[in-house]
Parts: sequence; C-alpha cells; structure tokens
Amino acid sequence: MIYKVSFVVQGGGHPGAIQNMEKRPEKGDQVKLDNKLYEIVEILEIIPAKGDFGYLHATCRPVEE
Amino acid sequence: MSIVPLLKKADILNGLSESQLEKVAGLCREQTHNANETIFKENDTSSELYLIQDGLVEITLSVPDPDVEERIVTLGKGQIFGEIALVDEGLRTASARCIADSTKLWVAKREDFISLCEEDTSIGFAIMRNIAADLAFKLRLINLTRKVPG
Repeated sequence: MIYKVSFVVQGGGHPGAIQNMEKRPEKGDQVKLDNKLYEIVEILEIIPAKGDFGYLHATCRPVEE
Repeated sequence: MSIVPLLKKADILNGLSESQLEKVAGLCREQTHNANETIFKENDTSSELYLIQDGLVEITLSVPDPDVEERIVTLGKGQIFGEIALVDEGLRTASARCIADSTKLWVAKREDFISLCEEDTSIGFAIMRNIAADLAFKLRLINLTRKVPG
C-alpha cells in the first residue's frame, strides 16, 4: 500500500506538503518536510483507499531541535 | 530500464493495466533539476504534466504582491503538478521550483497525453478521474490548512 499524505503544520511557517509514503504514518511519528523535523499530532483518513493507495491527512507541529 | 514500476506508485495512474502503463511510459521523458531551478513560471504557456520520482518541488503564487512569492505547497515523490494547464489549456496558475538537489521528474507533453487518452478511452477515463481526484485532494489540503491555528 502507498499512502498519499497531505501535511498541515500548526503555527504557520510552512505551507503544507503532499507526499507518498510506503509506511502508514502514525500519531507521534516524526517527519521531515523541507529539511525540518515535525511531529504528527493527528492522522485522518480523508478519502477511502482506492486500489493500492490510501489517502491520509496529517496535522504536524515543529519539533524543538 | 522500464519506468513502469515507478508509474505504478503514482496514483494518477491507479487502475491502469501493465500494458496501459507501458503506453504511458512511452510518452515520458526524464528531467533532473537542482535546488532553486525553476521548472515553470506563473502565466507561462507551457502545458507539460510532471510526475516527481524523487526530490521536492515547491509551488508558489505571486499574488497579491507580484514581487512576492507565496509558498502554497511542497510536493514530494509520487506527486504530479502542471495538471491544471493539461486539463484547461490555460496559462500556468502558479510557479514550480525545485527545492532539493537531484530532483528527478518524468515529463509528458500535453498533446501526447491527450492523444493517448483519446486513442484509448479506458486510459483516458482512468487518468482524468485520477487527475480530478488529485485536484480535489489538493483543495482539501488548502481547506484543512485554513482550519489549523496559525
């Protein structure tokens, strides 16, 4: 399964991103968007899966480095 | 090397058979860009469709101040861009710029893509449905972005 994930970042400073992931992202995971690290605080399945593709929306917050 | 395994990972081609994917592969040529290279600019007349194999592309708008570029989304592997001009034949609605070195793209010309869709309407239906779904996904992202506290 390939997960097409849209990312929204809390607190501004990032416009959001869309990328494919081969592992389903989960709450608490850390992801790199434009070379900065973010933590996923919420995952929503926004569209039912079709074929080999899942469609998710992730809300993230910046990780203090 | 066949790019069919890569095309299988792009959801705009979801639902196509192996032989149909081979036909799509025949339309694609490879491009590699480094960070800060512009792929196309807002209001350009180009109409190619792009698929990101690897790397990152930033989509920007120059409104409301034409001298300021506002980032609207970052796209990573497996994502398409340039689909609006492919569908409506209009000017580019936004600019696209690479933000990672060695970003690898697959590019198809609009006229080749449309010819294939007309020649094999089952390919055409699947791709147009998937492009519509991709546009809807991007609209959902914009709507959800507005709901997140700034």
